[in-house]
Amino acid sequence: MAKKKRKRIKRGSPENGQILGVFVFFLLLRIFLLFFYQHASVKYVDIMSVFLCHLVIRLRATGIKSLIWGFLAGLLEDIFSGGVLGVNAFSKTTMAQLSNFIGRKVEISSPTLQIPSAILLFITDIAVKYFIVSTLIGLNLSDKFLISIAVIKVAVNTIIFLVTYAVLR
Amino acid sequence: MKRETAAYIILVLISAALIVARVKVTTIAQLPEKVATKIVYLFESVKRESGEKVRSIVEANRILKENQRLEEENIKLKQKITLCKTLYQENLKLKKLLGIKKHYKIKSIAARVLGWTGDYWQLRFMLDKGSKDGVKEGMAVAGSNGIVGQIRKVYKNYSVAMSVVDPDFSVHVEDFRSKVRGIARGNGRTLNVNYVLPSMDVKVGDLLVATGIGGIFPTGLYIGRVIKVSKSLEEKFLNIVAVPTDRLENNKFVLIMGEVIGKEKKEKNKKR
Repeated sequence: MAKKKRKRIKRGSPENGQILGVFVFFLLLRIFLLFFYQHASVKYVDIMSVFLCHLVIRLRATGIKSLIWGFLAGLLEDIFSGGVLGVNAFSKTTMAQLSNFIGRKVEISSPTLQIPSAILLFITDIAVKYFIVSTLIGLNLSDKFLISIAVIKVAVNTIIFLVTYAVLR
Repeated sequence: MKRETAAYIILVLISAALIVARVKVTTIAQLPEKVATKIVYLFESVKRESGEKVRSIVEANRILKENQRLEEENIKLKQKITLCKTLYQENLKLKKLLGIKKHYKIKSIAARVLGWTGDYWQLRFMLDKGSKDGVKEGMAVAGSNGIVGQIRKVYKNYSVAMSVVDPDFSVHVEDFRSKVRGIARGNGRTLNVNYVLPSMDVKVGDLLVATGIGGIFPTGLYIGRVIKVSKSLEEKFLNIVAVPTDRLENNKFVLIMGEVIGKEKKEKNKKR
């Protein structure tokens, strides 16, 4: 039997203006959180991860574009959080690359796969970040603590993704 | 895909390099704190300055009101002071009158000068005592500094007194210093002392007192002070001009001097 050729799913590239608009929206949101909402629960919110999910899932950005935007978003997150430069840049770039990889296999922007895709991307972001923190920086956290933070972060960011999806639609 | 992978690797390497270099950018992260501090400082300074300005406005307003109140109080106090001074002067005059009353054992009646009667010369004044108080026509009227007039007309409740400078007024006087005697008459403005020979010793500044002749004007009470003494070749007597020591219109209270107390008793005994 002839092997079935896998169809390469082509996604249309979004306009740069559209991406810039979304980016500005999330940047303002991040600034808002920085200046006006200094609360402990804000630590669980990763606005730039949510932006990246919007970029790859809703706007369907792929390839180098998504990598560069991911890198940029990560760098900004490092600057706003006051942490070591490069940690978030690394994790967001990895998120973007993963979305490219998955995107070649399945249609992640389809309604049924949006939420699972977003959750997967958030988990990837958290995993890569804590890997870097523990290996390169030397910060050791207990597994239970790590898992509980991860669960809360994924849940919070997923909710924010859904809310902003509804708003920006 | 190759380009994509290469881009991913490059970006990852850049991130790793940044991590290894341990570059921290804290300026943005600390920005809220700095901005908040500055905003709070700004608000505090505005609040402090505006508070001070409001306080100063309120204080200025309070000071203005206080100033106004003090000014009104000052005016009232000044009026009181003027009144006190007037009362003090009046008190002095009344004490002098009382002294006259005590010194001369004469039945005297204290009377208030009500005002000018409206005569042409402005020399006649109304007093608030009349016949029902024992006032009689011709009685002497004394002020705090001497004789001021004579009762001219008497009514039941009031009387009219003429001033010493009234043309109808005359009194027997004596120079207090040289004891030279004459008759003083009013001329509307001053007193003319008549029947003084040129050889008599009368000088400007001499005090003229009543002699008591006639029993109307008590002896020794001041009448006037000499202001002019002149001799005329044609006239037989000296031309002496005097001014009264006191004026009726300058007194609020006067004494109407009656008969000597001893003399009154003698007359009563005579009638019996």
